[in-house]
Amino acid sequence: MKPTATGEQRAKLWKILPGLAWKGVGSNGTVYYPYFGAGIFSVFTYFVFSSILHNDIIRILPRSAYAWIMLQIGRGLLGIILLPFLFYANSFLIKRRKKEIGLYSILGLEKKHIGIMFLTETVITFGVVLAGGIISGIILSKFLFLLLLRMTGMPVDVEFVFYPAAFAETAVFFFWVYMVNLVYNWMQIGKSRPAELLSASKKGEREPRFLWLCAAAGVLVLGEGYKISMESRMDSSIFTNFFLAVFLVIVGTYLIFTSGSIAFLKLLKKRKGFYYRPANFITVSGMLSRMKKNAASLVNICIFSTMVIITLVCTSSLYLGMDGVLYFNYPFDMDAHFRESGFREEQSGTKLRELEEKYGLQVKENLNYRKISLGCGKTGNAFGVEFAERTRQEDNYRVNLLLEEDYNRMENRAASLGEEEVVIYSEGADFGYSEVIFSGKEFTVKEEAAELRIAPKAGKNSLSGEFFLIVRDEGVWNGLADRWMTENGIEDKEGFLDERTERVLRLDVEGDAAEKAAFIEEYGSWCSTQPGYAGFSNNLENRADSREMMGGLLFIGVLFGLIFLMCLLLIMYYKQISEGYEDKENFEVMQKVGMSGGEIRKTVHKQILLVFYLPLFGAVLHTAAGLFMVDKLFGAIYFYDTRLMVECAAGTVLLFAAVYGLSYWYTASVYYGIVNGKKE
Amino acid sequence: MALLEVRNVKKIYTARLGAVKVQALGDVNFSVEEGEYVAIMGESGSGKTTLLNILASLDKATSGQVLLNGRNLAGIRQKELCAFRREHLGFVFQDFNLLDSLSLRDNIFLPLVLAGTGYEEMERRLEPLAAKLEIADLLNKYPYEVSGGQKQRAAVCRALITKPEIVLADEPTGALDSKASNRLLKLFADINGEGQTILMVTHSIQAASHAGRVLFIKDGSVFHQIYRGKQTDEEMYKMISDALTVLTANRNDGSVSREGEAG
Repeated sequence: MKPTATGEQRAKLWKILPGLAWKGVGSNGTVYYPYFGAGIFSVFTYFVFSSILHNDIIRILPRSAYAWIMLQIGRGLLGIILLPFLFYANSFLIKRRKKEIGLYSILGLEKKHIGIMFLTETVITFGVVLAGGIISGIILSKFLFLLLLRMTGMPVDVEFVFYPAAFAETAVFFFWVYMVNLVYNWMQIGKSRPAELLSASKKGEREPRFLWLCAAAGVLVLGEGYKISMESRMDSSIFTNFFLAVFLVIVGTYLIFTSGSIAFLKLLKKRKGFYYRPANFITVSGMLSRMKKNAASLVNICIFSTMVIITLVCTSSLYLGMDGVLYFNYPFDMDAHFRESGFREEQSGTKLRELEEKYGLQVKENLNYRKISLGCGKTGNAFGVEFAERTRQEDNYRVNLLLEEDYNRMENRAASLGEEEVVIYSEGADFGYSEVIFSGKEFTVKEEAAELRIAPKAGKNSLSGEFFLIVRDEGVWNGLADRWMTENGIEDKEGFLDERTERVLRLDVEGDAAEKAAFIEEYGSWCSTQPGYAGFSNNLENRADSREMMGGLLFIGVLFGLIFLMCLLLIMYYKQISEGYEDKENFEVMQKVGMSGGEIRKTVHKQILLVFYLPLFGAVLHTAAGLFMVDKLFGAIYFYDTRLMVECAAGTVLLFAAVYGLSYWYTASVYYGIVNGKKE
Repeated sequence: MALLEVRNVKKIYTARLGAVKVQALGDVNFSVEEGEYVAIMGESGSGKTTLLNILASLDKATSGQVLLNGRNLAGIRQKELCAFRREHLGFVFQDFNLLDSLSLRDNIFLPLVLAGTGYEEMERRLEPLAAKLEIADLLNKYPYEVSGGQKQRAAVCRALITKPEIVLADEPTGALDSKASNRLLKLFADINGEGQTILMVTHSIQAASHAGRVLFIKDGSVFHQIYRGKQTDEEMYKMISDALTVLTANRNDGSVSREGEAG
């Protein structure tokens, strides 16, 4: 009789499957526990984002729209990063377990049984990860929410509620993530034969061709990426340039790391005096035998390192430089604009004194000046008609004509200008000429002012920099306005001039925040009832708006920095243990042939040292090049403190190198434990 | 004085929890003279691998002594052990133990590299050996590119290149087909003819029949030994075969006799 499985035997087989699944997870702890850890952390972040998004508070709170939108975008990005990452981690696990699966199928487990085993394992993983992530999320998301509120400057005394939708969305997202992994695993067993699974290929990789050509191409591509980053300007093309630069840098890194490292190793191998030394011998030959795989993971490590560093640099600079940005945008607590013709200086002063008394506050700063603002196209040292062509838009500037009298008073100066003399000031890059031509009339630049209290200077401000021309008196003033109006073909000169001649009041108030807000509020509404009223800006509110937008960015920056770091550490860890298992046999042989434990330890460290510090070095270089672009991008939100950014970058790199070093030390000991372990 | 002397070697394995003790070697005594070709035979579980590991200083005897050139292996400090193995012993394994990441040439150089030998010296030693072992054309190939017999010859080359006092071979023909086995055994005989001392552990009568002396191990001690004298390989084969028959026939009362010895 043919030995077929009886029903009873079948039933038994089905019963042992869950046991095998548990065993599969338990006995592969070294690879499974980090996988769980990464999964739990992923669920945790996703759940926190979802919970905050679903809290009504975040939509009801004043000025929370930015934060909400940022979080929404952030969660989308999170999904894009997490899916491929968890997929990578899973495919790593399956590769490690192929032999075990092969053994099972030779011992009589059919493919469908193995499929069920995988299903059970995935269900276990999904359950553990989801529970772990959500529980830690529940514990910590309230804390993170408060952190977000603090960073964005929103009121903190609000209640945080968990909404079922947040649980559901997290569960659904990760259901699909693990479903994709499960299907991949099924496909793996579907197409493989047991014999293949059992014997992992021992063949070395084939050497890539055109080594030097690739290396040269890599240098060129990387150089081009760096060049784009370093030469980028803050204009409409910066975002396309940004992605182009990132793409080029990744491709360049890949080419250089693959061909460059192989070419370098081959060079080392040719130098017999170097190659035939105990530690070098094993290191170089071992690395050459898996050069392509090695290079790919080095590129990943390098890119993730760069992402972590850049994210953290941006976050920390923003956090530390936020006050600077707010001050740059809104140097005064409030600005009021009037038409000069209707402005009543006396009433305005009286009202201020009245409010000071009412609220018991002090007006600390009170600037009061006249200006005419005109749009001009700048060519060299000449200001003329604005350019209409798109390509020259960036040469259009706003020119503010000020009076010597106001200038002397505000800046506490004693400039006494001649008829054809001006003081010039630029918010952006220095003007730099000794003559200036305005609508055809030439003036001698008596002085180029280094600073002006009403307009903080930022040398790199190429986006919104304005010019200030300080002239002798109203005669010169009106003469210039007239020339400009003629040049621009203004017909109703009188009406136009009346409209453009402005009186600006800019005030700083000192005292309790709540009273201050009420003071400014009341003064603002009083202004709007006055003749000649042209506008009022409550900068306390404007600052709060900006703070909130940047706070949202910061919050996302911190969480994303952590996510990238987690991905990075896991990739490093997996790389080390997978190589540890590959090298285990080799080290056993070497020990038999007469290599001592000490020599093995030395070899291991040499190998890991090379592998680990190359990407770090690459990442620091990438960061250095990337900072040029970050600097420009920061200009878009009026962040101009390059020095602060460079300091933050230096601090971040040091901190990152320390974390990197720790991870090196840890993975090296795991690796050593594996290759030095007794044969199972 | 003998090159290798094994005196009252005993090995007892203790299970992890300490309750169960298993005796792998009872009381082994024998010696090997310089230039000898000795085969050790025994069934699975007779303790021959344990014995070889102790001779190779990969494992330590529970009691007793192993002397190589009068030097007690147990007295060598752990730190120096690797260097000792490298300088005085050559190894040939059943599964070759060649590194896949190294070419055959580099595999052969491995022990010399670990010993810090210069490249020229390594090349000088390799050339005649590679010619003798007929692998001169294969030196730049990798282990996964050559046959089992070729791998084993490269492994023999690696064992010989350090000019060891004794070559320890553990079932060297175990993974080879009969043709490759014969070729390897002939090589061993030739090398031995040039004065190299060889100690081989095997359970193949064919392999043992090339040796000058065969030791039989049973239940952890030397049970019997036969010398070749002036006999041919065929006569030797017959003798070994007969000895093994006796060895197996005694199986049933073996324990009784051992008890008798103990008492």
